[in-house]
Amino acid sequence: MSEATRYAVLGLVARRPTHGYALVEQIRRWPLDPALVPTGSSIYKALRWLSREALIEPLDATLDRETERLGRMTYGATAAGEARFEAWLRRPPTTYEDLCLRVGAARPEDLPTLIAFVASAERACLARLQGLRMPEVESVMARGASWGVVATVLLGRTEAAEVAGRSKVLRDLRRTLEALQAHRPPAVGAP
Amino acid sequence: MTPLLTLESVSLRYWRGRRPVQVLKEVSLDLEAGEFGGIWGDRSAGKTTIAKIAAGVLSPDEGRVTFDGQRLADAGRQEQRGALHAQIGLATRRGPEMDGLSVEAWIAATMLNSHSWRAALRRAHIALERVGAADVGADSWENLADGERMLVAIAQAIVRGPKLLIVDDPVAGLGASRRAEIMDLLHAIRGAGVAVLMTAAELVELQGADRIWSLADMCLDGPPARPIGTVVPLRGTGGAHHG
Repeated sequence: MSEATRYAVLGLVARRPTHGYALVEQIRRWPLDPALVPTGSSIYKALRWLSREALIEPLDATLDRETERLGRMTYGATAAGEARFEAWLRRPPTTYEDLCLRVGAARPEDLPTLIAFVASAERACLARLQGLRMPEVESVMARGASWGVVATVLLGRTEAAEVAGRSKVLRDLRRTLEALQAHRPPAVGAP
Repeated sequence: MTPLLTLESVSLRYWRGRRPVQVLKEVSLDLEAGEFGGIWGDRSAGKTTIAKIAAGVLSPDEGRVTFDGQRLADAGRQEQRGALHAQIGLATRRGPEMDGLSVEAWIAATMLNSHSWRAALRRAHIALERVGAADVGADSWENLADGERMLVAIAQAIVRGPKLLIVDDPVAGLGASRRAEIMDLLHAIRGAGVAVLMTAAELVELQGADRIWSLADMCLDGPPARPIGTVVPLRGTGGAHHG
């Protein structure tokens, strides 16, 4: 159970009280690399861990009328859980996936923080692109460069394409977030 | 340090019949001497318009364009304006509007107000050599391939030894080796101390540029320079090592 899974679960519970099965269903739909999607058991583990840490608490369990047994347990975030989630959300992401997770878990009032994170990631991508200037592979080969050089250029070009693609995605995301922020009614009583 | 080129809140509309079409809205940018700047945007985002405004061949409806500390649009007398424009070269895909001329003669013809024909031809030849297109000097524009046209356009733009070279979408639609040739040339020109402002349809073409702007929804845009919050390069973008 990764830290990311814990915070994803905590964020979802903080947004709306929910039970484990709904969480599994919800998280399964996230556009993550299949290898990164938390398994059902790791989500339940996260629930137990969060519960032990008193970051979430069981609210009630639905009663199954036929079997007269308690069914799914609904959890809500405690005040400490809300605070912990808030602190995590405001911690700068260290990977792209981490950033996506924050975007997925954030609330409307977190838009300025998200915009700053996305802009920061976008700047890092652009800086990387500015630092790269890879020749065309064909021209390097035509000049009789060694295979090692050709392979390096090949990788460099792949990276440039990837960084450029990601910059575009981040730019569009930032612009969308900025538009959302611009259309938000001003918060009442916010600092 | 004063930037070499400054666009301040530049706006421009075109008229399509009776309908005004806003192309640029309060666009601002600074380019220092010797810098390589790139603007990327989709087709019809206004890249050519901004290139022409920066080159002083198109005047904005509003806003101010300054080159080397002087206003470009209304630089007083004709001669003064000519002297200013000689320091800016603009290379586009549009060729000469003279049929049948060799490209060398076309380039020479653009310098006749300041040079004798012989001197102009010699300069034209040197410029074509500089871009590696001396072999097509005797051909006419119509007979050139796309990549050759771009090289010739760059030769025409640098023939007067400008401080700023503006290149509009130089690599779109070109094959890999031609693209490499043109980008190498632009970076070599920049390496010789000439500022370069280039537009591109693809961001990846701007790798290695000193400054990058994106043009979308009539505005130039980039991540704010000093955001609130933190600056954390993301792992996985490579930014942690180089950003």
